[in-house]
Amino acid sequence: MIGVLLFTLIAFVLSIMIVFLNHVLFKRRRKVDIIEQMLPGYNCGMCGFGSCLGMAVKLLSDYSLINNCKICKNKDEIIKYLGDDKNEKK
Amino acid sequence: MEMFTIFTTALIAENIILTKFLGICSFIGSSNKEKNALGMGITVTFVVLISTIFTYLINKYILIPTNSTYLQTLFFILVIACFVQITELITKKYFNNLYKSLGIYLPLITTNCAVFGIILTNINMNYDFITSIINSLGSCIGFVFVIYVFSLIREKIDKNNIINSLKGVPIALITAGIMALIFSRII
Repeated sequence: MIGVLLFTLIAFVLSIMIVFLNHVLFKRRRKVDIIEQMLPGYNCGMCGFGSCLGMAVKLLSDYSLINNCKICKNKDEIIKYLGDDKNEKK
Repeated sequence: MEMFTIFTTALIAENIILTKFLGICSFIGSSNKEKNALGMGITVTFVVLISTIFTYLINKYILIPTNSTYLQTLFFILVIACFVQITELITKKYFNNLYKSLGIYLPLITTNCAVFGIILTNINMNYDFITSIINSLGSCIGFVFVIYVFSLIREKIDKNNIINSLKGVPIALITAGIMALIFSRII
């Protein structure tokens, strides 16, 4: 019985370890997700990058591209988010 | 001296692939290119060494004191799966090309019987901590050595003219059989 409980405990600890590692290693991916959520999400392709996800990936390297988006209303918010991020890196 | 004997036994006489026939899946699957073979060998080595340490500690300080050695298989598979996941994450982040070329064979290390076989041998033979690490290291170097040589042979074979029906995996299996004969001192 105690073995089963210990098994559950160790499985729990190991799974937390994997989640934490995933969190640390793939931060960039999460940033893309946050930016994609801020974008309108119509996937209209008017910006020239095919979808909002493609736009979000491009925005990470150059945030002046935000002007390509014709429908986006919260441009300031996205620029602020990206700007804050760059300051953190410095 | 005893350590040296265990090391060479695990390396040559009890070679994990060609004498015990464990881990054939990744052996055949990822030995088509020299780089893939080396990558697979190093990944397996990493997983085996870390799981050896953890399974030894778990067996000695958790399973035996709580009298629950019947959970050995479950515990060991859990530890192996966890470290394969961690290795996969690290490979994906830092060696993306290797991650792409190994493909499905990377997460399949979890079910690679070579890993589980080495660990079970360590536990069943009642090796102590240093000896089990030496045994694992010997087995893993044997694995890397055989898979590397085999990939070189396969690359050479692919350049030659062979019968259409034998191309690819069939000729690889025949080659592996001949290598196994050499290792079991028949030829």
